[in-house]
Amino acid sequence: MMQVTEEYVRAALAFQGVPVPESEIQNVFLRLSLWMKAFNEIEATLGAQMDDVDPIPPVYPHEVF
Amino acid sequence: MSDELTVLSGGEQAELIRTRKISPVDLVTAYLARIDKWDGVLRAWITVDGDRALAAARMAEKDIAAGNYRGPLHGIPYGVKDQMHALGFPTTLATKVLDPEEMVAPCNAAVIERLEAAGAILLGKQNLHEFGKGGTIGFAYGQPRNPWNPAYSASSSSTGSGIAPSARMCTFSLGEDTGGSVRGPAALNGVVGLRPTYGRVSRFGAEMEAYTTDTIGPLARNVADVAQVMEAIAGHDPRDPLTSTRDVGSYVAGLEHSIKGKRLAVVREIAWGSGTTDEVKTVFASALDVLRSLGAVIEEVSLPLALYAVPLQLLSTDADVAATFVKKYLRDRYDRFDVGTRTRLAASSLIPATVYNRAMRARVIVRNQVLEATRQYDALVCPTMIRATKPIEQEQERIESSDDAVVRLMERRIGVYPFSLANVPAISVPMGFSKEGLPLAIQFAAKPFDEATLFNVAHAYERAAGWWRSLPDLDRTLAAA
Repeated sequence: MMQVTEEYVRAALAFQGVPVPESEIQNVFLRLSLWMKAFNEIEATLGAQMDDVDPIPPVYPHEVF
Repeated sequence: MSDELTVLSGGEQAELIRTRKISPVDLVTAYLARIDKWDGVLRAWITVDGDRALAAARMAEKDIAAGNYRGPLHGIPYGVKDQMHALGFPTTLATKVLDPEEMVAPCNAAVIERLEAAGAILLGKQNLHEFGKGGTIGFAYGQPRNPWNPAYSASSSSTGSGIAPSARMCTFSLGEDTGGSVRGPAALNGVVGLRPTYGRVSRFGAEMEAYTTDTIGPLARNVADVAQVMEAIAGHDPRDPLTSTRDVGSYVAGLEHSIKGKRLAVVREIAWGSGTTDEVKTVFASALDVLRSLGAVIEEVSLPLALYAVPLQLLSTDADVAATFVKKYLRDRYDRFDVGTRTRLAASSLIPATVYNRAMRARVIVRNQVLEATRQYDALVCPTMIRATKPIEQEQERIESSDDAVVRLMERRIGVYPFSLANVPAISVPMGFSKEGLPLAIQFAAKPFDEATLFNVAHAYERAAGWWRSLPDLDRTLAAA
């Protein structure tokens, strides 16, 4: 289960050198939390199937239709 | 007479040019006059070069008079999302992040080269969400507005490319669709827009960072014009190694074929889902009746995993985009970005590689479900947008609470993202209006590289339904602006 905290957001942004001001930290936190919440739901539903496929980018012309 | 030329379809304009009943100069002059009159309000354009367009029109007139007619796009004026390079125009990407010297176009995009070879005339570069990413709150080159009602959103991110053909400022536009950035502006401005199959159109010379789903597609006032443009821009380009070597074939030749017996499957979760407004459901049901009257067989398909398309796209393509921007501009020019763009990019930059990998695996599964459906039917069908557009301030992607953000993120994307995640072709066509008089749209999607079927079905619907004749009367809709 991926869980985001504001402390993680601050630390990870600092690690990458992205200078997000304190007034925008909550915005970034909410966005990331939202995506991770959705990811957790997807993992719970599709996790077993996800183990059985490769993460191949869906680009052509490598497929036959 | 001059302004009346702008009401005509590209096909009708081309015939008048071919037979020398009008000159390309007449057409360019008419469009420039409309841009001059209305773009102060609509802000569809960032850069327009009237002198250059008129010079090209005079050259086209001379060539045609000399018997060197190049085909149906010769002398036809167009605009392009300011994300594609065109020599002589700055590529602003609608941002304040770049310095002027960084906006100098290094080359022509492949699509510009192809349209130039076909004789089309570039009027200028069109407004967009910052870097074409969507979610812009403050526009560096002015707030784009919907020509049907300037208080309402004109969608994202190829915003100007949807406004301009709707407002009769050009015959067609080229936009870029990563998640829904061609189909959204087409739907909300009342024009036709195609997201081609990934790899059908070269990305060379366009500034795009979401390499797994970026596509370039046309927008115009009718399906035939979009098909005509696709014939010109589609095809292999060795400079884009992900373009397909498959033959393009003819898209226009099959437009008039009967669609009797074609099997079309309504995507249940999008068409009849709880988020889809009653108004959209009612108008969509009427559109299905039109298709039935043409002999199409309407069935239904369930794509339950399609609902995951939105978060999976954001978890993967946004991370790809952020990976570029962290290195390029986020570290040292953060404050020059629009707040909507920079917070989205900052959040995307924090998606762990482990999550990215799992999201890419999930995309394979979701995509397979969409692909399987496209193999069973001639086309899938659903509303392009599950609700009508809203006033500009209500559409802005302000993230103030988690629940609110979920609604905002999902409702604008759920109709279009499943097909971009799957990288299948999809076309948006006007299907009527909301009670406030704002455009609603139907979308058809098909298996990869089957644009010809999409054009055939979409054209048949368009002609039978007749909405393509409805254009905004700017003297009325912008009267108070």
